[in-house]
Amino acid sequence: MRHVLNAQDLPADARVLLDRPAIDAVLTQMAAEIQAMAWPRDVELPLADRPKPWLCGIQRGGVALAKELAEVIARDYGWTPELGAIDVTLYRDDTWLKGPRAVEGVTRLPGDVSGQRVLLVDDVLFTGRTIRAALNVLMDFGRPEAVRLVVMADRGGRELPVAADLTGRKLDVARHESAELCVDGQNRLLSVIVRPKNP
Amino acid sequence: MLPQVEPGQTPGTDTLPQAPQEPLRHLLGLEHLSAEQINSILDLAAHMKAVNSRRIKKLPTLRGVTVLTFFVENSTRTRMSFELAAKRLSADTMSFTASSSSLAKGETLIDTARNLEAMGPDIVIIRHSCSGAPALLARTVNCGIVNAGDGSHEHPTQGLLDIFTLRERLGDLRGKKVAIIGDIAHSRVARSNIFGMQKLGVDVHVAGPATMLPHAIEDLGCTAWPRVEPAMEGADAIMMLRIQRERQGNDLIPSSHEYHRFFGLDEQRLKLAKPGALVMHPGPMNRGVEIAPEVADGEQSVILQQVENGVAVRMAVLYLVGASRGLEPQG
Amino acid sequence: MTEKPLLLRQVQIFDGEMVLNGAVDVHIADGRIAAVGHGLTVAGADVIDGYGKILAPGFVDLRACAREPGDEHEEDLVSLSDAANAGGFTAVVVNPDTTPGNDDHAVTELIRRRAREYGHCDVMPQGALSHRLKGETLAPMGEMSEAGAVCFGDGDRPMTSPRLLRRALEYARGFDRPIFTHAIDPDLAGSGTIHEGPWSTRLGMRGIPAAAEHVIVARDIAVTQLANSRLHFARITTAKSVALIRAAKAEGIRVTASVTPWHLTLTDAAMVDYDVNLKLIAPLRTEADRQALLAGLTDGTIDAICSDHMPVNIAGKALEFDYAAPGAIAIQTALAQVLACVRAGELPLRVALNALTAGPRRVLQMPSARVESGAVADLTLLDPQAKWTLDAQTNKSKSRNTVLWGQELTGRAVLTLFHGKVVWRA
Repeated sequence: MRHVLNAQDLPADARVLLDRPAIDAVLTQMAAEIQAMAWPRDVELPLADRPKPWLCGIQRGGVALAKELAEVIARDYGWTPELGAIDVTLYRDDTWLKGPRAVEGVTRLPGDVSGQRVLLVDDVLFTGRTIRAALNVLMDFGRPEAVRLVVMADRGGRELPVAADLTGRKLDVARHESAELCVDGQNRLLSVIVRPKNP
Repeated sequence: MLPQVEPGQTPGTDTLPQAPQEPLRHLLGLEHLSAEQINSILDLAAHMKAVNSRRIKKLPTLRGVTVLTFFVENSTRTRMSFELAAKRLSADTMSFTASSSSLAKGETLIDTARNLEAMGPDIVIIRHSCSGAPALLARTVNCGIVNAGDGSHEHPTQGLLDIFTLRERLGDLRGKKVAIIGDIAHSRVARSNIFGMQKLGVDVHVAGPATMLPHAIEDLGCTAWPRVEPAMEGADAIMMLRIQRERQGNDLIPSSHEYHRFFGLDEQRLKLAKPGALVMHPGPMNRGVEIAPEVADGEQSVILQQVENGVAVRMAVLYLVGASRGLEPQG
Repeated sequence: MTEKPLLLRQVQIFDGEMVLNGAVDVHIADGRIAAVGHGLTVAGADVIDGYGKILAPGFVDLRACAREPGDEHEEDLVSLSDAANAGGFTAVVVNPDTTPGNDDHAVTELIRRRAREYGHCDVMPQGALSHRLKGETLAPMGEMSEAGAVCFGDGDRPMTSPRLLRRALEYARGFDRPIFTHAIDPDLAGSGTIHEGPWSTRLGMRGIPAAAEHVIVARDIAVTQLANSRLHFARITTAKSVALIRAAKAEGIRVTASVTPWHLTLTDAAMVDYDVNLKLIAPLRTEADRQALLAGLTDGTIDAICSDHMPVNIAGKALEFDYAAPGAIAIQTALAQVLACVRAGELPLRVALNALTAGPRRVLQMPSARVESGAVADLTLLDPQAKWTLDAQTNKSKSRNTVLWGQELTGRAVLTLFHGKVVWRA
């Protein structure tokens, strides 16, 4: 995730894949799909008793995304999802390659995760390694009823058998490029850009 | 109750300022760490502390890493705190307590260390009665070395957990006055705290009978007093050091009774400090010698929080040293 | 004498006091200097080019440990002789604290005979001052003097009894031998390992206060005056000691002093790495002390530089600082260490060389060495610019306990002659 002051203030080599109007459209569509999402135990439970899923964003872009998704759900469907945040720094599989790194954000769940429906929210799905780590974080807090993966963009390039249950947009990004979510000072989503990877 | 400040966090957000994490090959002392390094360790410790409040108190971070506790001087508490920290990071732990039995057999520290190194630990946590032993080990074996207390030199994780506790309670430590009272000359806890706290802007005062104040202690930047009252006056925190019972009867103090009367912390003296000042002690305490029981158990005491924070701080240190090992050329 | 004659060409001569202007040739034959002059030619001589090099009387070391008898795995009289020669020394006073200690003429004779048999160096035993070096009763100084002891002292053992010191000083007068002492008050020094100061505080090491040395220097000056005898402070380390000795000499009290290359070049700040090779019996002191020692050497208050060579086996050093055996080897590096002070402008060259040649001879009241025709050829040819490294190839000692191990050094003896014989050639 990249902080920029305004939508125009981007690196010179960046190309915008999704601008704010496109993001608005994606959010609205994703909210609708979340609303319509089926869960394994739905058949056993009357509609009124079906628990509402938490939106747990992965630090840091996923947290910003989850917050805005929740706002759209509240606007369009009249309920406010509980928000959580998950940091995967201490669960990464490349600690031995990259050395120590600062923790990016806090891990905070709205309550006891056991029996909960959880939507794991991330901005850009790439190798799948972050999702593997995030699942492990979640499991270390308890045993959720079910976990679904929601991503705004899927750029391909999976290295682990991970697939999103809900994908906002599929993006065409080459291996040598990086796709980044841009947010402003208040962590509001601005755009998704693509640019050459840092050497 | 004092306000709790979550270290490093900007109010109203869930994200943290992104400082690059420098590798930490060894932790031999706080003297050579920068304020930024100390703060980044403490920021990490805050995350570790959150893990310690979960039902499943475990991180996979150091899976496959072997941590050896090598205690040539006995300290069950410190060893347990380190072992718990290592286990919570999923490291494998072994312990070797030597007292001085291996030395009695004519084996040198370097021989012992090389033997232990052959078992392939990634991190060696060493406690030793001789100052400088961890530095010797760091030069000798290819492992990350964590100093768990060496002679009268340093006890960096104790210093870090003390500073963590202060930061948790007082927030920004710049300009805060901390009094460290006791046998400064023989205290590694005092040295680590003097080095570490001053880097974060603390006004450190040390006090005790002048027999327990080492030569030129003020060269380290702190203020020294041969009586405790001026050090305690207006302090935000008072740290009492353990008076070693075995030192009584030698020439440093006449008696523990006299020590308590003139240098101990009781309710009366605590009033010299700021209202609500924190009372700290690295443990184990001699109740009735350096600290009165009602003060040790009083509401200003954070002594048990220090112990709790010790595990989190040691997790942070082990993570940093362990992960930095990954950057070393292997084989 | 069947040694081939030697001709040293174009050398500059140090005569014990100063380096003489102009290069000369020196012809050595039959163990003596045959001629000194310009343009000498000697048929069949081994010719050595001495251009840019200084020819000095062989160095005399007032303090070294031979470890023989008893600890020959660390050093022996042969390896000590070799190391001494490579360091430019042709005469060495060896400490009495061997196993057994040199408190008896039989041990003195053994040391003298072993060194003479090898014949590379004049090994001069320091006889013990007290029986078993216990500091209680006088050792047989007369018999040891006859056997070759040149001075008396209890090595590194502190002299706790001023009464015994007085008796020793008085008794030694009859044999015209000085008493050597290691000035330290063991009670005040306690269990200290390094200088008590900001560094001992920072490093958490137990300190030896400077006062632990100069209270004894002051005491021993008074006792020397009382006994009307000669006393040598073998290694002083503090500014206050220099001042006390300067005042005593001005008063005519017959005290002398020496200093080690370590104390001339390093301070307690060097302890920062807890290097056991800098754990010395006389600890490194402060920069102010170092400056006072340099000044004391320059104005003649300090008479000599002694190597304080103390070989320690690896088992004695592969230990925690507190447990490691003290001492460092230095006889081979002393010249390079002292020349570092010269290059830094801290010490005049003539003072440095005097303290290695004429100064120690004066302490022992040996005849002054001269580089002149007819003199015994105990000579050192030194190259102040030569670069070299003390390592497994160059080290002559059986031990390697020095911080200088593996470091490039500047200045060395390139040729050492003992009684005209080439005993070292770089």
